[in-house]
Amino acid sequence: MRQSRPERGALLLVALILIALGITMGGGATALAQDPTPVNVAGIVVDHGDGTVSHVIVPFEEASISGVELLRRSGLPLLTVEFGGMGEGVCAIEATGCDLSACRARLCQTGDPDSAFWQYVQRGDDGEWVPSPLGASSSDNEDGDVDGWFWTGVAPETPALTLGQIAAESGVDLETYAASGPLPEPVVLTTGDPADDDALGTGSALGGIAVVAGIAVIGGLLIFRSRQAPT
Amino acid sequence: MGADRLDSRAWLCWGLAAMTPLLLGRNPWVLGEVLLIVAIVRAVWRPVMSEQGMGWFLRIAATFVVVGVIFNVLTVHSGDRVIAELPEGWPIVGGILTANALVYGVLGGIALFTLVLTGLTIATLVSWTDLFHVLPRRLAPIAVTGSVAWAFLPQTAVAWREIREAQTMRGHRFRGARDFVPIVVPLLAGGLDRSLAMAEALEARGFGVSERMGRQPRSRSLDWTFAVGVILGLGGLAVAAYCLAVGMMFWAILAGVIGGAALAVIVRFTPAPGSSRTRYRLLAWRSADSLVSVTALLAVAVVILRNGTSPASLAYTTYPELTWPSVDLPMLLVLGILLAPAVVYRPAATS
Amino acid sequence: MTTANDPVATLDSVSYRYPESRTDAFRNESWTVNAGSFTLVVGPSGSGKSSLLRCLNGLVPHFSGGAFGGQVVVDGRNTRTTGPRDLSASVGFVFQDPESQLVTDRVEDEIAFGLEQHGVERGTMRKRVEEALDYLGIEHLRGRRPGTLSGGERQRVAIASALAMHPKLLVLDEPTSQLDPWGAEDVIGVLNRLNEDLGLTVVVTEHRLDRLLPRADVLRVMDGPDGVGLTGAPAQVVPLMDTVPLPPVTRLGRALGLSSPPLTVKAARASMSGLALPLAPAAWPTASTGKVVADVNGIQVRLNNQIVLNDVSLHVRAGELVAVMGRNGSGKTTLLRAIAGLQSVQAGSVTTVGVDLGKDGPEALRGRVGYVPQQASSLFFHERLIDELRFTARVRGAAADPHTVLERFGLGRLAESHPLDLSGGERERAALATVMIGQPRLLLLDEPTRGMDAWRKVELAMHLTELRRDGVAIVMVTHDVELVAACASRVVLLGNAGIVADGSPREVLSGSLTYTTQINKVFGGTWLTVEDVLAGVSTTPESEAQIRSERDAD
Repeated sequence: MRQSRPERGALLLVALILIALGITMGGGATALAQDPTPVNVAGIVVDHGDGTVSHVIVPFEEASISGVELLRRSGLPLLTVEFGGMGEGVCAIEATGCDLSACRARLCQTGDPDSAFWQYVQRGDDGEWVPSPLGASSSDNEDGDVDGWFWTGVAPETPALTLGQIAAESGVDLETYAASGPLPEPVVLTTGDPADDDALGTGSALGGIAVVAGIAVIGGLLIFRSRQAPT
Repeated sequence: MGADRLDSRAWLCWGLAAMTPLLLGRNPWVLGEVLLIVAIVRAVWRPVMSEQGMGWFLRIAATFVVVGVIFNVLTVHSGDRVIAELPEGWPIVGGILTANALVYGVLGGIALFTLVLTGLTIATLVSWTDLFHVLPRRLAPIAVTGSVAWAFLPQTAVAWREIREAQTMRGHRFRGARDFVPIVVPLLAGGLDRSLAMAEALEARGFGVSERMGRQPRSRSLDWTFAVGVILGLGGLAVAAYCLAVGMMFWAILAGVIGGAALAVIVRFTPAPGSSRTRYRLLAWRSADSLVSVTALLAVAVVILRNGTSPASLAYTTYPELTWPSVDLPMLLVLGILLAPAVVYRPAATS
Repeated sequence: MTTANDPVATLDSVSYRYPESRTDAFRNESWTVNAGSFTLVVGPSGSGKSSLLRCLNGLVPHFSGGAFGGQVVVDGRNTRTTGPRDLSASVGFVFQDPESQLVTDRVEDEIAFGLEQHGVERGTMRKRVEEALDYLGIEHLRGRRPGTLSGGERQRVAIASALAMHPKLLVLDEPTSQLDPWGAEDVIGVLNRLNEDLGLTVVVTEHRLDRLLPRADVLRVMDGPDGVGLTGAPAQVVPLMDTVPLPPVTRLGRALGLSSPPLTVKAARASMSGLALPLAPAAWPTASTGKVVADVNGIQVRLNNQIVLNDVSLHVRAGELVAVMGRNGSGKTTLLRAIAGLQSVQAGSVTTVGVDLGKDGPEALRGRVGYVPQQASSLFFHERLIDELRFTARVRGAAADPHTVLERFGLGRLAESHPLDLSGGERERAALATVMIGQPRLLLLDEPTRGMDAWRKVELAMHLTELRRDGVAIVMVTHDVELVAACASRVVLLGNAGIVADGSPREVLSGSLTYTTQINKVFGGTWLTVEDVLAGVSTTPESEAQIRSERDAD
């Protein structure tokens, strides 16, 4: 009567977790919001490495902000890891990247030096991507600059667009945008289709359920058979 | 093909195969499937398993899971689905609490729990005595140590419960870590008594007598070589397993090679003990053992290969966005062959 | 094989002192073990019996260290130069604790273990293993894991492992002290057979003398550390030794002044048949009318899908000592745990010291019930005994003075000792003192006499009787019929998941086949203890004369 208390507690906890899960999966709220007045605008090119590329226009008030901060203000879902005094590393942007443990170990890279990670580059004046000597936590971004984030382990091949080109693509008039009242929302334009991974997408969840259910049925039969008297 | 027991080496292969996907990623489909398979194999083999006093392992694992989930939710302030928000000023726990962190914590917990469950299953079904004979002679003491330690675990668990109950009835309250002194002190004292008794029994039954007979005394430097070799060997393999788990492939391979080499060196180069130890039982390798081992190794190969070519089949992260995990149907189907031990089981004919 | 009466082992002025000890464990032990003999070593805990036995295979001093004097020669080899490993082929050793002497995970492999170590050829090994399995009657256990065996089965496996080596000498250190009566019976039966049929030389220490005394050729009594104890054939030694450890019939014979006291029930029937006794012994105090302290009402307990207790009711009153008896697995310990609130019940209710355990948890009981676990040392974690008592007093908010309590249990001079340095008997009393300082109204004991020697049992019975007089209710799970007859006020016999009998020891134990005392087996009726008979004899003067005439006839 008494001893079952801890077990009951654990069950209750699991139930609470599941309820919380249900609520949040159903309709979660997106946190992250900014306000004050606009001044500067910079662009970001995010290449997910799967064929999708996002072009983002980000407003900011300061004269200059770091690459990580710029990315954060883009509103793209972001997972970063803090390396003590050495700054922040980017583990995942939207659904692309790796989990915290892999990120802490080698910033998502496996043993292969060519394996993908979130490469940070800045658009140089000559229209080439230039690796930032300071890293994304310490780099400077001023009005009109463009940053690149590429999920790849090799030299990036994504076109180095100017802020103007990005704005034109998204149909944004930069002058009106910069003057448009209290800090405007960032503008995100994603193009391209996720490539090969599509086959594994949500579409085959039914298949997954079928496999697991099949195993459960076979398992049940095996358990049943093992309980029969030996012949 | 049916069998009421499997060779210990076959069980080790199966255990390795069940653990590999758990170490490589947290794809919920894979986790769920492996957990289900391990549970089925346990249920089928239950008649020949003896696990008295092992439940506490699972309880401890379950506790770690719950603590891990709470810890993850409170400390990882990341993700798109916000459940609640704690004041930023609070150290460590301050910030947004997200469903992403919750799901991630739960998945990590399931992975850990399945690992413990698999390990427990293997340790129960493997015969230490068989391993003792399968291992090269120089490594035999490791198997005996394992066997003795394994025999101790349930006793320790029972002793823990008895002492806790006795101290509770005495009026003691367990609130913080320090309150466990009244359990730990008698437990250690009792454990020491028991290990002395066991050492005495081994001595009185002639353990290791053949290693000294018919051979001149071992030199001290060889003893050292052996000790260093064992530490390096087992340590290397442990580091390799860790590195594999956190995805540091290069280091995993390096540590694995060093560990394996150290063990090979002691087996090959420290002199074999007197040839006088004999074997009572010859181990029969049956077709069921082959089936279980081959399917297990096949599953390992597929999992590792798939992890290299298409990480998403095993990996899954809830950050920064909570999305549905990808389904790798071919791999899920291949993992199904891990049911092999359950398929080959036939109850022993009772005479 | 050596011929009979050749010495297998000789001890010559052997003395031994543990490392870091100031006193000798024993001194001046000089005796011989002849081939084919059965030697029984008797003495209280702490008299050095175990260390003495360990001299016979070289564990003392090779394993234990310490100061070793004199010399021991076993199978022609001096133990100073030959260690236990090398002696393992000639001396089989069986230890006290069935849980920590089996090393492999299969009974068969366990028996082959020593043979493998000695490089015995495989064909011979298989034959030896089969023989040992058959001889010990454990063939059906061959594929089992030792962890799943009962204590008695494990000890038989340990004996089989020793036997497979074809030893010259089999040494057993209290092999049955951790076993229930049935397991002990099996082991002792095996020992008798080994000695009788195979002529195997046996040296054994044991607390249960009733079965072994008639079998022994040599009885060695260790009284003190100076080696002055007695050695000789039981018939010579028994009339001279301390009566405490003797079986009840032998003790009665001694008390009646018989020159050769009987060693068995059968001999006692023959020599005491003429004893005139009144119809029944003096009546025992009637059932207690004290307040109900533990109230068990129709409980049902299921463990692992088996009904262990079904519709069991028990009311324990203040001042009662209830002995709970029954075969293994009959739910004795489960009932005790239910009273302590440590076991959940599926139906019915348990109210202990006024706390309804169905409503409030066992937390509410905390500190109001005294509980001494089987391993008394499980309680101790302080450096000094007095601190153990202070700790209990503090957590229970009891005001009693620890020194007074220690005095009461005869431990006054040990207040500053480390609890784990105490001898076995002292530990037991220290555990009682540690629990009783909280002044609980209910005391729960789980097999308190397991591994206890006769002297300690007498002490325990005395302390329990005293506590009972103070109005403490005691519930004790035990297999020890003699202890129950000596001090219990009520016996509850469990069987088939329920209470089979509930009444005074006289009602329940008299005439029972399994649960009765040696005295009852001799005299029948409701006679249970030596004291009953002696009191009875003194009331009938003519019996005195009868005994005297028998004594003259001797």
